[in-house]
Amino acid sequence: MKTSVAALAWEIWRKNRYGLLLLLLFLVVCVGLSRTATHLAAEASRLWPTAVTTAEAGEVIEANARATEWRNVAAGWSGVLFGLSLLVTLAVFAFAESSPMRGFSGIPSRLFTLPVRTGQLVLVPMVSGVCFVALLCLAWSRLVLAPILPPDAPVSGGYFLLLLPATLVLFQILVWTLPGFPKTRATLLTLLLTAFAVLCALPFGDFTWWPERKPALMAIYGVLLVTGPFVAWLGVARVRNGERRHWPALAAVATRLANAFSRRRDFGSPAAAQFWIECRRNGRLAFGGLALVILCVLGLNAVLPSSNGSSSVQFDSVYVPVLVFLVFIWTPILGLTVCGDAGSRRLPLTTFQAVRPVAVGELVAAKLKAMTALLLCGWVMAALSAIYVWAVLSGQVQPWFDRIVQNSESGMIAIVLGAISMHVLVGLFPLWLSGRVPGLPWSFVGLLVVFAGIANIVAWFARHSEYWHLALLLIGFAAAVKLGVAFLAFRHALKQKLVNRGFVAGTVSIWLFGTAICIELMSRICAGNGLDATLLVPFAALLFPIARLALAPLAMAMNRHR
Amino acid sequence: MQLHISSKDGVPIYRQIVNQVKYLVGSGRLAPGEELPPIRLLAEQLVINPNTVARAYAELEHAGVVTKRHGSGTYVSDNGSPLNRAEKVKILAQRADALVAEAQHLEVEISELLELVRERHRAMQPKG
Amino acid sequence: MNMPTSSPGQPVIAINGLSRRFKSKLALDAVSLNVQSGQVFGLVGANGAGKTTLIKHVLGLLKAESGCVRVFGRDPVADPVAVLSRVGFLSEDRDLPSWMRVDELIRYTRAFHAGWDAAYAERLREQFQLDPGERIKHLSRGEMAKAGLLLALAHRPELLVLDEPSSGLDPLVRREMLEAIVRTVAGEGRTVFFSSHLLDEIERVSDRVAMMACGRIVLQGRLDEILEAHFRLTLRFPTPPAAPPKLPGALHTTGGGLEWTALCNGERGELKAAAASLGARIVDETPASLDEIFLARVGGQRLTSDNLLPAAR
Repeated sequence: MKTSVAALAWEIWRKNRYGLLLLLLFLVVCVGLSRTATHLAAEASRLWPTAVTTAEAGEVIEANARATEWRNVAAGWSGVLFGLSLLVTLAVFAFAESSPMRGFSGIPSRLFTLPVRTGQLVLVPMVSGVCFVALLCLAWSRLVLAPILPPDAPVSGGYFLLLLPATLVLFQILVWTLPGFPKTRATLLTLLLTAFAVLCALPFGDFTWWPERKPALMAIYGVLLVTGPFVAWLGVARVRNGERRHWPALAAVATRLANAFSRRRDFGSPAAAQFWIECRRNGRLAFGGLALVILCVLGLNAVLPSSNGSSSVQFDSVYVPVLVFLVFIWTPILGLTVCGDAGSRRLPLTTFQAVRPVAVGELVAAKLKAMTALLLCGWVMAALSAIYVWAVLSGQVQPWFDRIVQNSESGMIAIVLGAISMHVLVGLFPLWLSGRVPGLPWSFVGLLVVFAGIANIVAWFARHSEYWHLALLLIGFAAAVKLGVAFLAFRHALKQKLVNRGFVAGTVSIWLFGTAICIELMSRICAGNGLDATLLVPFAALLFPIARLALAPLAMAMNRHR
Repeated sequence: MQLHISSKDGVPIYRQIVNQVKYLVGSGRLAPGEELPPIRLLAEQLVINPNTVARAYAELEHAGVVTKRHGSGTYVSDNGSPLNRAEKVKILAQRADALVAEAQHLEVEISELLELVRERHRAMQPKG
Repeated sequence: MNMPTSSPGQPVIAINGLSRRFKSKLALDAVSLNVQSGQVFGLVGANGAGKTTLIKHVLGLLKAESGCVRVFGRDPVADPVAVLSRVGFLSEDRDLPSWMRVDELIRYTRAFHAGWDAAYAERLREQFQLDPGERIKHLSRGEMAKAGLLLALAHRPELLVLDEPSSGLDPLVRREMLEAIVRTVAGEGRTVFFSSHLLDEIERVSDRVAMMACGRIVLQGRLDEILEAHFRLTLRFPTPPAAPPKLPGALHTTGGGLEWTALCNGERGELKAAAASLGARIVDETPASLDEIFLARVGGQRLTSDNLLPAAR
């Protein structure tokens, strides 16, 4: 390594080599899927002209069906993995490091003491990041997406090629210029990611105004790309010179706000103190992000013109993104951050928390209570925002009620979403609590794998309905495993005096209550819609998690006593 | 009572206390019957282990320099202890050693030195 | 001076044959020690000797792989509540939640201890000059250490465990912390177990001392007995010996030419006889300080004569 530029570039590679290898893995997997899909499609179309007899025609139809199935699978997986790759790329090139005391930094301050110019510090990650993202985009669109999507899908072309680097540049600017304001920075980053998601979805939305707006948007991205490095250089230079608090007024307001939340009364018991610390540590980030996303989605929908005139469709387009964010993004992040140490952001317990003179069961109970409280508040916030939109579109309320009552599809969707939300919340609970896995973003890879597996199994069963008795067996087996694990875990925890009987009784009764509600709702829906109850009701009985909650105290004990 | 503990001497701390208390008693800075600080207070003042102070006091009591009165603390022993005289002579012996060595170095005879001492003693006597 | 614990005569900390391996590195190697009630026990060792690992075992943060650890007669892993509620702990990295204010931190910690003395905590806070409205992340290192010590002292624990209490602190704050330790022991006869690599601190306040190196205890005993048993002999040879003289019981020998100094541990009479048999005359015999003993026992080969002779004489 002869020059400082080369050294900086090498550092990016070395620090993140596993991440970059993972990206390569994703790409290879999706290329494989895509090739298989095109191969099968080519097979099917090859057979088509030569089919003469009915048997051959049947073969062709089967080949076509298989080809379409594969293409859907490939498209689904590619979309998800491409999204993950983008997130990993953002994390890699943001160049931030975390320390237990000071949280996430911007550019690590140890680099500021090296004899490099600020321009080099800024340009190396920025330029390499932009090139990398552009390459990634080209590779994915040419190799993976173009073969399997219909030819008029807007994946190739300059839009994404400009959007992705512009997002990366903005991301880097935010991370590097605001190290002194972690909460503001987190908020703005969430806003950025949400805006990015919306802007990615726009070309696929088939809007009438799209062709006029598109060049304007592309011009905006181009301007961002060009001016970004300059802005970043200015900001990083100020941070390097120590002018962190360059907005004293903002800092003063922030302090006053923070002091308004400070605790003035004594605590009644250790449990109350633990609950307070868990809520305090996780509450503001959880709420801040959620509130902001809801606000910005509402704002965006108010600004963008609707595709048709109908207001109920507009309500769906407002509310569905909020729901998606809530279930698939906010909930697991909430689960993960609550499992972290209440004093810092890491998963392994710090010494301060580990020497609290309370049993492990109390620590876990405080986390669960805080998580439930935050989750309920989050759902209430989402519901309130929905009511706000209803109020704005008043006159649409009655038809909506009728729709909900008669068409239980929404009810079923609500149940399934609620169940999925519950499952991503406690998704990797025992692993997170044990403190032995890395937190963000690697936990989400694990979650993704598990859920993809389950989704694939369910989809397979839905397509091959002749195997439903096998599905019943599988459900029974899963139930047995779940209850068995829960029973053994509780017994072990009780024997080791990690929890007391009250904890076990509380968890079991909550599970019974939740399962009863699930079964009741599901049977009503089946009765109302004439669906087959023999499979869906037992499936509903499995939806409420208990095994993972039973394993939680054991995992936490592993974290506390290493 | 001002004591100074140095931890780099190699001399055990309790011994430093014993030596310094003996010196103070011998040179008159601690009067007979005067109370020494309680063990706990001296330990906090010097930032050392109270057991060390207790051991020093025990040795001083064993040597007769101080006496412990039941419940009311530790006091310097009254006059008449032979140790006082020995301490005084020891102090003077140190001074004499320094004087003799200096005289040797400056090549002054021992008889001249003794004459000088007598002369200074006469000069210090109050007139009349 | 000694306050009785639950069963008098039972050691407050009893560690027996404790070993611990981290991947391939042996962090603790068959460590055994006892701490009696009312004692100040000093654990000495270089960085990486295993002091923090041992302290974590005492608190139940690490499970004993082999051997056993008992605090107040109980296993800190199996019964954390009973043990931790009677222990006040100051960790080496002083990890306090950086976002809390000082008064919130005091209120939070108070909720966990029934025996919390609020008046005493307030006195300590004033004495340590900690502003109650200040956030922990804005405190200096010394103030953070004092805040941590306040939390450890305020519930009047029977056992005070301190991991390198003076590390990174200026002499003023170091003195304050030592004063607090001495006051804890003097006034109420509580037990203190602390680790340090500052030997003059250990020498001032400890009753018993254990020296650790590479996970093993190389020397353990009462401080005054250790200091009496070690001394430095300076030998003068008529002609320069070819190789450094070997005295039985000498831990470390330095010097050059005609005069050689050995740090010895053993019978004085035997050593003098051995010196005479080598043909040397003993010109000086001085007591050894604790850091000289430590360096001789632990860091022998890498020393030069500069290190062994005390700098400030």
